[in-house]
Amino acid sequence: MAGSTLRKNEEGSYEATVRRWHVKSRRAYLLAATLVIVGAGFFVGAYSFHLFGSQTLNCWTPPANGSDTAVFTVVMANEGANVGFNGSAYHPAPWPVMNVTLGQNVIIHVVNNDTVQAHGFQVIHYFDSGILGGLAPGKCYDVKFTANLAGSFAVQCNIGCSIHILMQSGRLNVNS
Amino acid sequence: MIGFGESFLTWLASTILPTFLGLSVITWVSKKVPARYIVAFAFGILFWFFVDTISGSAVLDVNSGFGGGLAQVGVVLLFLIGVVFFFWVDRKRDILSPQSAIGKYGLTIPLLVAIALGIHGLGEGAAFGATAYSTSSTSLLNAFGGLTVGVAYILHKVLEPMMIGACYSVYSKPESGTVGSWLRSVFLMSIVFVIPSLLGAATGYLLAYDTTYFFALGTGASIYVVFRLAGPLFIPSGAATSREPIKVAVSWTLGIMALYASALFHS
Repeated sequence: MAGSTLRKNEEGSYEATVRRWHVKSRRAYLLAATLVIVGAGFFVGAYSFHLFGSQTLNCWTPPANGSDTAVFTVVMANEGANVGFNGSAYHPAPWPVMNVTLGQNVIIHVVNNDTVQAHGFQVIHYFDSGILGGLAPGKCYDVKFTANLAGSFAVQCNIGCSIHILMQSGRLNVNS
Repeated sequence: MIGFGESFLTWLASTILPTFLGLSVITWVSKKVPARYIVAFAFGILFWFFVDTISGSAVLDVNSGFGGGLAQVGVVLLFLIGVVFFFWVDRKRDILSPQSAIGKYGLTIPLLVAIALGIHGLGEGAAFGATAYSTSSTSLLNAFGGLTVGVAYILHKVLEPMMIGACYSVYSKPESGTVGSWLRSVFLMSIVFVIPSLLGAATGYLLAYDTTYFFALGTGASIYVVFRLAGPLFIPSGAATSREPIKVAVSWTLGIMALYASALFHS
């Protein structure tokens, strides 16, 4: 942001006067940055404190139970009766236990009922990748697969969170 | 529920003491070991740190696909703000020509790195505060799963500030100072790094809020640290030998494996 003017000096040659607008430019920068930060902070703060939202997803409705399909619901929580996976904090291992038959279709409806932090969900062999990066607070996710290998497989959290260790004892038993 | 005082003081002690220790160790070692290896070690830590923080943000809510609504927009926006903000603040300190920044800006660069890395502590602290408030256990360690979880937390708080210490060793020319000025610097960097975590622990105890936003901001801010740590790796230092890349790779591996090892205690 700079302007310039040309004027003739006493010797008859032209000299340029450059008007610099550093101060205004810096102020404009600061103002714009402050507005962006305050605006974004307000928006995100208001949303994170649940002052508004557009959450229309009903996580408490489990998926339809089709033919030869076993449907389970796993609730992840940081307080109340469900701390851990379906309250695994209060139950001896293994917990929760899901029993299915070889060849059966399986849907595990995972609900993160924690209002604070993300949690992970992984089923060894059947869902090794886990829910990518974990499930955000208040969100749900359906893990779907066909139980084509008999055995007992670990069901666990696979990201770092404050109650990670309480979500390490789930089992999926595939019976032949 | 664990009392506020007990949970806050425990969090304070288990955060600031390891931070001070980690910073002291890396800045002391940097007097004996060439800066490039220290930076490579810190760069290894940074890779794990990035994965950890972006997981805390549920990978910017990518599992929601295109249907994440305002929450998803919020985390992505905060991530972008985290990236741009630190580059904007530090734009006049030779961020793209690290050689020129050495010894020129005092503690400014390591302090900015401490702030950028410390932001994720808001989320960590809030998760801790919320768990301490909501647990039915009377023991903090039991609420989080036992002694090994505590060990994991302390070890990772020793390692994370080493990224700040590496920047301090490269950019602040500490070898010219006295022991007193070194300790003052280490203490200042520790405090700056720890403050967001303490704020998170206190507010998280009193209010339940979604920490994914803070992890998103912290993940974005860590990109600034990537540039600050990557630069010194490519500054020429004497006669380069064919062993140099191997030594850098080994240092990097040691860094990422150190944080991996600390995370094993949490599993």
